[in-house]
Formats: sequence, C-alpha cells, structure tokens
Amino acid sequence: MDKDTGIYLEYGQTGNPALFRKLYDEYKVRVLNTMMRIGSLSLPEAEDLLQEVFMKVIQERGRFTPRAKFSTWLYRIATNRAFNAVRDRKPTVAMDESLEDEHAQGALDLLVTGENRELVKKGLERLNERSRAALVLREYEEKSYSEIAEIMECSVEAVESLLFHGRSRLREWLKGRMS
Amino acid sequence: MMHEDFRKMVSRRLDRALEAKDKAVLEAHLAACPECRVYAADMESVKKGLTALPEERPSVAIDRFLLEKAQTTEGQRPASILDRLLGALPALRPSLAYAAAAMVIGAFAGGLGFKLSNPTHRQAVVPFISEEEARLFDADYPGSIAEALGEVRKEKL
Repeated sequence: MDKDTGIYLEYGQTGNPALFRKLYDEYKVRVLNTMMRIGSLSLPEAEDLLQEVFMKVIQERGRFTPRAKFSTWLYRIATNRAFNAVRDRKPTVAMDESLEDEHAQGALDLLVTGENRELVKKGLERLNERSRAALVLREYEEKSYSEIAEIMECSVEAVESLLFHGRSRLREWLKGRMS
Repeated sequence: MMHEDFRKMVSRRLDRALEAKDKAVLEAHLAACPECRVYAADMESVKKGLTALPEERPSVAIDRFLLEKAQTTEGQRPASILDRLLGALPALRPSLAYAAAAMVIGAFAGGLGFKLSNPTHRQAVVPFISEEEARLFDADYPGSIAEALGEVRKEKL
C-alpha cells in the first residue's frame, strides 16, 4: 500500500485533521490545475470543484476501501467533476479532426515562450475532453498509462490512442496558427 | 508499416513507454523519413509546451474552509447517506421543518376533532355534573338546568 493511501485510511479511523491536511497540501495544487486544464476552467470555477472534491474526501473517510490507490481515486473524482463542468457548458468549436496537413513544415520549437504558452492552452481547450484529460494526466501529472486507464475507467490501449490522437491534433492546430 | 504506426511509436517514446527493439526500428525510420522527423520534433515541442503551462494555486479562503471542515468533523462519525442528502439540499431544510410542524399540528387537531365529534369520547373528555348534583341544583332552582344557569348569572349581575 502506498503512503498516501495509508494516511487516508488512518484519517478514516481517527478523524485526525492533521492527516487530512497532509493529503490536502500534497494534492491541492495538482488537482486544481488538472481540473482547470481538463475542464478549461477559470480559477474560481476550478476552486469550486476543488472544494467539492476535498469535501468528498472528508465525507468519505472511513468508507474508503483500498481497491485503488488514494491518488487514483482522488483523480477519478476530479476528472469526472471536470468532465461534468465541460458538459454543463455550452459546446465550443471542436478541433477539425480531418485537418492534418502532412506537408506542414517548421518545428514548433517556440511553444514555451509566454505568448505561445497561451496558444498551447487554447489548443488544449479545443481537443475533445477525453484526449485532453489523458494528455493532462500524462504531461502534467506524469501518470503512467495504467494509472490513467484506472482514473478514466478505460483500457491502456484506449489511453495510448487518446494520447496519440490528442498530440497529433494539437500539433496540427498549433501549426495552423504559428506558420 | 505505415507512417501512422511510426508516429504512434513517437508518441510512446515521448512517454518513455517504447520498448528497446521498437526504439531501434523507429530511429531507422526517422533517419530515412523527413516528414516523420519533423513530426517527432514537433511532438517534443508540444510536450515541452504542455509541461510549461503556468500553475495556479487555490486561494487561502478555500484552504481555510476545507481545513475548518476537516476540523469540525474530528471525532464525529462520517456523514450518513441521510446527512449527505440533507447536506445536498440545504434550501429544503426550513421547508422540511415547516412540513414536520404542520404534520404535528394537523395530527393534534385531527385527534381533537375526532374526540369532540364522537359522543363516547365527549363524555370522557368533558366533565358533566353528576345526576345527584343536578337533582339538588334542580331543587334549588326549579326548571331546567339551563334556565337555572340563567338565574345564577342574573343573581351575580
């Protein structure tokens, strides 16, 4: 059993708020940013969801059974909340899946500069929600394929496919705007 | 193998999930295919771009709210399903209280109405004077008890 799962189980047994604080401090920033990116949310929107996620952590203590790691369970809740936020919002224009330009040239080597970071963010927002979630969990959280599959409740092959198509579409979209 | 197969390998290599034998196959293809080479370079940039996104932090108010919630639930049992249902419907709580109060009042009024409309209950609830008292009263005030009561009122006035 990993450390954080052990801490959460102990929190469930004792109700000691210091244990909750340990988990909260460990995950709050990561969960907040994960939800912001998956759901294309503003900071206040993501904070509302963060509050809901950690209220669930408080309420479910004592009921948690370690079938999955605490972090997997936490990210599953966060990802589902972000998906719901996307669905509750008006539909945005999705990236054209048939847009690939095989002959586009010029490496996208300036994406880390301030202005282009905003472009990456916009491109990410235009991906479908599952590709976006897989990319965020992989690139930002450095989750393994199997962890992403557990969080998103799909197969490892599906995760690989989501990552591949997500990256390819993001590249196409960025190329269209940077060339 | 098609270009797309190699590009899938590029994606797996970015995730450090490409097996060694596939890595050699991919590198051989990239050396020979300029399009896939550009694709691989772009993918590296996309990855860098994604990981360089700025990070936000939750406000102190959110921290405080959650840490207080964790504090107030210390030593208490975890919320039951009913607690959570009520917690999810805070706006309905006052109306639930009003409904409960209305039910209690309704039950009381219904029970009283039943007793008053049922003679056996009326005898049990409303105390009447005994036959002996009525006879004595009638001796002092000839006529009906109702008339006698009228006499008593007149005397007091």
